[in-house]
Amino acid sequence: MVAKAKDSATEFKDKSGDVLKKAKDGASDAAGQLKDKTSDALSSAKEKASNITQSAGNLMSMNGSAEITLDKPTKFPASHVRVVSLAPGKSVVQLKSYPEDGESTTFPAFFIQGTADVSLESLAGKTVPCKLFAQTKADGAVWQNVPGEMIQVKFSASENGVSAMFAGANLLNLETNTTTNSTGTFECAELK
Amino acid sequence: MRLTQLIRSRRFNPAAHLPTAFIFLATVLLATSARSQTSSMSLPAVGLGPDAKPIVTRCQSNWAKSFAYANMVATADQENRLADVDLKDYGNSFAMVSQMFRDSQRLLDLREPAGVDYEYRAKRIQRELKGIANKLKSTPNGSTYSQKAEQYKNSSAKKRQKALQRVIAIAQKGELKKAEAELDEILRDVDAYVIWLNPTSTKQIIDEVNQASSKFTVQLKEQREAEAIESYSKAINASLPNIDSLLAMAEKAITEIGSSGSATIGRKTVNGPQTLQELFVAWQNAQTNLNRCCTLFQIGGGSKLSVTPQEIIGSSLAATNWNDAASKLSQKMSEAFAKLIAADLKRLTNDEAAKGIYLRYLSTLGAMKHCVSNATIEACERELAALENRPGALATSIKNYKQATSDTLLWRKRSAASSARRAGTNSLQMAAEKFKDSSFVPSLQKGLDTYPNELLGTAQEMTVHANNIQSITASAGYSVYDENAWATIIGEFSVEQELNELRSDLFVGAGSPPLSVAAATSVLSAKRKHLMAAGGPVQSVQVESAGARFSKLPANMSSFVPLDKVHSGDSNLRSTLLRFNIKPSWVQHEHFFKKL
Repeated sequence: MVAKAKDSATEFKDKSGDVLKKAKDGASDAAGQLKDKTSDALSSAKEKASNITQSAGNLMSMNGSAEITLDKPTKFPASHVRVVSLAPGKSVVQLKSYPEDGESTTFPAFFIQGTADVSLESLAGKTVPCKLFAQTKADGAVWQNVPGEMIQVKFSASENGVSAMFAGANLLNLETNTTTNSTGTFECAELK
Repeated sequence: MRLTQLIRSRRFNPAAHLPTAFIFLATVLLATSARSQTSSMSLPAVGLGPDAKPIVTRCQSNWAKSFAYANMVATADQENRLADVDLKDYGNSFAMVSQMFRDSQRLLDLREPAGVDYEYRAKRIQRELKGIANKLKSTPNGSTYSQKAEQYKNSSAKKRQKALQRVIAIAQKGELKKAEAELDEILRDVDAYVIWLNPTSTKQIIDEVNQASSKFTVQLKEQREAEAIESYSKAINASLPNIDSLLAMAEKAITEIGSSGSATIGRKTVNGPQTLQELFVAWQNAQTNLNRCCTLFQIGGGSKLSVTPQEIIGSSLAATNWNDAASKLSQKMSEAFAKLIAADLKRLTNDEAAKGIYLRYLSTLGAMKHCVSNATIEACERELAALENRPGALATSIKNYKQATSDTLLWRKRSAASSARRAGTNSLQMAAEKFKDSSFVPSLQKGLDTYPNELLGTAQEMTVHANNIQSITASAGYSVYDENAWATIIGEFSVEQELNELRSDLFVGAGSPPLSVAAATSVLSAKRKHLMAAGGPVQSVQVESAGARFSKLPANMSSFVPLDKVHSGDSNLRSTLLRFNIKPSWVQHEHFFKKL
């Protein structure tokens, strides 16, 4: 059973990336199965299952969540926030649906970036003009902000980290050349 | 012997006592739509020796005139107007076709691909002209003309026989080409009327000509073949890739850079990044020469040449064939680049000095990225990443810069690809499939004049995109050769605005250079207009000789064949490729798309 739980955890890790390394001992599905079992041999397994459930719960909050209106409201598997310092007084604020740099294996995916004089700690309460890109599947149409029109992303503090939202933004579908009036909401996990 | 057969096969045309000036302008104007127009494609001379180019020029001229006349006669036949046909022009056209055939054989002896094409053309027009000879003879004019031809044969006999004796005398003095030229002159006269003669008279003329030609044709053919072997061998020796010395130079430079930070290459003293640049240029030259030599060897006679593939490739690579050589050279140079960077960075402990060198390596790698394989760049990037593992501000700057730009590059790439998909053009390879008529590409099996005009017509209604574009000038670029096809990109376009936006997104400006290979590559390739793709209407399609294209590959097309390959393992005189001339209506850089 524990082996099965580990397998599930491995699959989960493959989908969600390195952040999930912390959860390699378990995953929520496997934990659920384990809970249902009442075998005598499971007393120690129950304890493990409890830990697994706890880890998985933490993971969900660690990955965050996001929804952006593309051709329809679209949920994304994760939402990470990061502030990268480039020079004194100049930082890059990034929101993205995947933890790696410069690649993404999970779709739908989005990436939002703006430049501001902020740190992660001072982000709440700020509005940062950003560029946005999103794609629902590999090699599918890309949506992005209409050239010259930045998305105004408002950041606020939340229980698990940082929340963000934008509204009334025009997104352009590059393959159909049509624009959509879009809103986006994000509960972000911090990406170190 | 070939000459004899040719004369024998010709039952042609009198009019020799008339001047050999033709009213071909009128003929051309008359040559309308009895048949479809010929394609205007032709193969240029490789022209390694002095003889080929003038022969090809004469073939072009004879082709244009004889084709126009044959077209006009065919039209007259369709319209039952053969009685109006100028029989003098008929004979003269036949004489031109005969000359074209003789010239095509000389071109083949000289290992010229154009010989294949003109042999087919001459045979075709000869067949068409002969096909109508009996009809012409049965016209009242034809009957009169036959009598005049017999009279002329007799009246010009002494003059002709004297001229033929002169040819023999010249040949016996060893001046074979002069003898051939004199005989050509006689045949231009004879060919214009011999078809109108009765069989006995024809045989008499053929015997006379044979007697003269037999004194030199075989020897002259052998002489031309020997000249070809010599000129191809000479051309190879002038284009040797010098791979052994390149690899030795790389090894020496790496050692020097590792110990002192500077190396001597030729007469220059250079630092690490400059060494990388020098080695890269030397590699490109070696690769261009390898492609040239491979082609020259294959079409120039192979083992008959005085130089072997082993001598061309050298011993350092222990390569078994041309492609193996290119592949192994690529591998060796990738290793050398990585070793060079590692040796250079290892001796640099000072952060500031390391940064300076790092930035210069980025510029050099950025400029070469589109010419080398990803593996080569990745090998260099791995060595440069050593700087990120050192403590200090430089490592932090590089790491932060990569974090701040790598996603932007990823998404810009996806956006550019998405926009290019919307453009909805055919790929070059898809288009090429349509135009690769098996009679013409990749091996010429018919005269290029018969390339289907319907295909050429449809070309101009197509929009096509080609991949991997290198700009040569502001208004001319080329796509990398792939599967017997390539494209030229014609027309000026600007990506200045896109370049500025890209620089802004990558935080590049005066005093703030790109800090990653990916960003440096992106900016430099945009500056140089090295593109992922360019698409637009096809202006024209051409069948080219692989021999002529690759044996004279210009230095500014050093990226025409990827650096780890040669164009083909097996070229010969018939080998061809397709060239599309495209006027772009859009361009796709790796990180932006622009509609023009």
